Amino acid sequence: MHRTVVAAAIVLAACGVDPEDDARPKTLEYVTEAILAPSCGNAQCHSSFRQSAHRAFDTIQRACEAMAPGMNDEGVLEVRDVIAGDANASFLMTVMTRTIDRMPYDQPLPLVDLELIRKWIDGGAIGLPDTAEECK
Amino acid sequence: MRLVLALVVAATIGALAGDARAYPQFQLSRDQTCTGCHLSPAGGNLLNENGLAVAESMSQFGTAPEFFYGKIPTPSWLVLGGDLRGAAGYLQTPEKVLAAFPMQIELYAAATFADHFSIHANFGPRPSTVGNEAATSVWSREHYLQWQQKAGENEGLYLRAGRFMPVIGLRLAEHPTYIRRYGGTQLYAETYGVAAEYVTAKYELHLTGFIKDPFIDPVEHYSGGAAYGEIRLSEKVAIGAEGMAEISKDDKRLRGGVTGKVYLEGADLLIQGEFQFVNQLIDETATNPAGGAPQGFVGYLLLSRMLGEAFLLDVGFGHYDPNRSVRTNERDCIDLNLHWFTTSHLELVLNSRYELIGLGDGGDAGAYAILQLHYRL
Repeated sequence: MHRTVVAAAIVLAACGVDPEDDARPKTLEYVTEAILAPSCGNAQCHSSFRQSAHRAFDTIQRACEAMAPGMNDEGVLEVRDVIAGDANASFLMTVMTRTIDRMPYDQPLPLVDLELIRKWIDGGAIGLPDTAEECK
Repeated sequence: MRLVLALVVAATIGALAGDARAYPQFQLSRDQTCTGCHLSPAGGNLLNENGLAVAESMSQFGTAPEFFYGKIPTPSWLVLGGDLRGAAGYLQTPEKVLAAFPMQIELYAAATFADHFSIHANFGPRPSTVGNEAATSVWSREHYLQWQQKAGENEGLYLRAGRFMPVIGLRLAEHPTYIRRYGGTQLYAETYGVAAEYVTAKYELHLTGFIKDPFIDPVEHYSGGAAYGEIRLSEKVAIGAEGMAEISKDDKRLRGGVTGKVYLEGADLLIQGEFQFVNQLIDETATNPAGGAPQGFVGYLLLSRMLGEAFLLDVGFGHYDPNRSVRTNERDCIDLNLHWFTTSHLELVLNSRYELIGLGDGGDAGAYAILQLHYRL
């Protein structure tokens, strides 16, 4: 019996946790480094090297600048890719979940990672400052 | 909209090979080391005399393999070359798109002086940085000074300083393979560093120290070190070990892994694999006090077989698990590449992939089939 329990525990550990119990940090830093950088920040796309669509997601500062509200050319603060607290209204979620022109273009994001990003935004987008000028 | 999508997909997928690297598929089946055919101890780019002879002998219509068919003679101390690549094909990610795009236009030069020293450089257009196109339209992806202990030979000690790719693992040419994209040597990950490398028929060792490129906005933002060692247990069996430590402003990554290569002579089948464990340590900050330490795996198994004299078939199996504590976010793929070496200079390649997330439970499947035209100058 003891061996069975141990074996089951090992198997469960190997399979990982259920997405519903996803305990990964829901922060700008984690979302950027663990999901956006390897998936979106590759060479030809949203790397600092390429900055496709004037966005880079391969460092926390660059991702922050792409997502936090920033000043436009007229000096007016405008929303960028994330509206803290409202994933459904955030452009970041829109482009990653729509059926046409969905990002990343070369390979879709796993659903469990999309869900983590959604929860991060709906939870107030922890780590994302009020303006892009505060990104560092 | 379809046109826009096709262009963006082209930019995204663009340069499926992107940089000219070696075909490790020939190691053990054709030669023991990368230096058997290439000037660089890490393989790739310019061919040596034996490499040119191999290019001629294995092509369907074997033409003169030299630079511009030998029509432009060069002095013995200077080697010139280049690669031109373009591709067209079908992508389903899961949108279905037809796309055609240039992949690579690069010229190479290696100049030897004082017997043991050589300067290696390549030059060509690059994907420009959006908003800074004027200053980022051309570049030199690699340029380094090399000292070689045994001048004119293909073994011994090599020292390099300059801009090149840190040396680790199988070093496959196809950069979408998981062990390149997620394994520390993604497309355009070349950076400044120094390397000490020792290559013999029996074993090879590569030690690289590198820094984040201080001159441009780079693809990789890490400084660190990489080590790769490989021992040939026999002429047909090799095993290797690899390690890499990387530090950036935001996180640290530690990699450790193994490689293996077996050539089954009777079946003319080369089986090679790489398995890498990755431990990422995300820095703790005031807004991210828990930091985060996703531990993942990257693996690739590649079976290669010549079909006749001029065709090479690759079947690859990839696995990438970015975080072993999370279910259904891992990726698995099967790659099928068919190379046709038509002349000493011209190669046609069919690159194709089918990819699943969470074995089908974690997201949409993806696929592509792209025909690549590769002309070596």
